[in-house]
Amino acid sequence: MAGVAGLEKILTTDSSLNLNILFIITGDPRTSPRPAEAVRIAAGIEASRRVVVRIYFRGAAVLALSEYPDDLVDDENYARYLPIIGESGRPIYVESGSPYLDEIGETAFAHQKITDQELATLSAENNYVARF
Amino acid sequence: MSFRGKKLGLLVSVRPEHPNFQRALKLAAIALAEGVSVYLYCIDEALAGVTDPHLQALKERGLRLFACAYGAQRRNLALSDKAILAGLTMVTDLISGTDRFVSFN
Repeated sequence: MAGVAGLEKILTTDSSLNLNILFIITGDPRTSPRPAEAVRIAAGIEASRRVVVRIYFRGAAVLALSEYPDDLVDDENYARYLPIIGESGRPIYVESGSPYLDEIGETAFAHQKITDQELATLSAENNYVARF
Repeated sequence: MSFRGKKLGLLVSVRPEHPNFQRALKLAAIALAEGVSVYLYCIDEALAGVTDPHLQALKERGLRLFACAYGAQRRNLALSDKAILAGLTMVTDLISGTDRFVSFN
């Protein structure tokens, strides 16, 4: 995207009035604080009611939905902020077929499994995508 | 095509050593040169880059530089003289109040 041509493309692409952002979270919550920080950021934006926020967990990040998140870095973020996303009525999206789904137990968070193709569609439907 | 009057919002969450941090600064520099109002918010690991000389130089050129107040406090970073400390409401403003928002993660 380097150069003025890239800037032109960025600034002239139409954006919807109904703004929305998809958080794609792939970090390992057992070793990294980034997934927890991403959830905090997503909830903070969602709370504004001005931007529609969706969250998708992939790979080890699926463990953020664990029934017992005590072993996760900054685990309090998940208990505090994931319900804010859940209250929106939109599902929390997770990677279909992820082996980590077997490890989350009886999670308290409603989630929807989606394929990579569905993720591509979801990404295209959102104005912005942020990956953590 | 003139970009004067356009607004560009940037969210950066990676450490200054990460290539995407430098990409964000490059985009900001090009936009500023074209007369775009640029708003850049550093969060998470990018807070370590608020004092980056290149970023501070962009601020001298008109970049509006913000830093996550919560993250700065957690990391015991004194950044108030380097950036405007702000909450997540500012990120929402960047998404909803600019012509284009780009996230570098």
